[in-house]
Amino acid sequence: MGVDIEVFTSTVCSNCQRASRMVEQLLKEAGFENITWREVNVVEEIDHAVAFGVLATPSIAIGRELVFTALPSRQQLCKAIQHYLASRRTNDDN
Amino acid sequence: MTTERTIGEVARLLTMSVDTLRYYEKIGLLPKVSRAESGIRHYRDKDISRLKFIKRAQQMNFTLAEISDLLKMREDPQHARAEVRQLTTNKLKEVEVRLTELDSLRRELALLVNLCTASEEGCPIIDRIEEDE
Repeated sequence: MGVDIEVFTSTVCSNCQRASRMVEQLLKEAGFENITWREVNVVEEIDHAVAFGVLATPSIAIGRELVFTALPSRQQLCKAIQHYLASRRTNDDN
Repeated sequence: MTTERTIGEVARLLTMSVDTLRYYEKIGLLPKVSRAESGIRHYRDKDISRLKFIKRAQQMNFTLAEISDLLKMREDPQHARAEVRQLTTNKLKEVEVRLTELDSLRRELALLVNLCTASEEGCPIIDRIEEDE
């Protein structure tokens, strides 16, 4: 099983650090346990980024699916993670 | 309505030389082009379509012999010989692989251009090229 959330960043974008911080804080504060995340530098891992269809930074993939192609609001991110968790539970049940 | 073009017009249209156009006709890649009483060749739409196909196939690095077979299939797909069918199937696979590679390259370049546009200092395209060297 891979990482749940991947935040695609680059050194040239001003919102990238905000995106990473938001993911980190939200996972801590909202009690999303067992959710793993990592930051992906698109220049260092360009093949991985291209495989996800990343065209700009920051982009956020949740459950191996590119969900945000710009900085989301905290509420949007929270909703997307809840949606992902619900679909993961359904898959586990089936 | 059918448009008829002279060899010079076709050469300009397809960015091919007139010598190449004459050569394709000589070796049978292009059927005999109709001529006016004065002897001037008149290329029809069908000829242009065939030449565009030849050009595209050449850009995919197919040999003239392979293109000749592909043209036979193009002309009469229902009655193509087994080996021509096989060649065309193989070439289709090659084209699909190339398309996948090109699509990947397109996305990579798009990402790099976007990063470069957003960059105030330095350019990730250059960084990436230097990394690969």
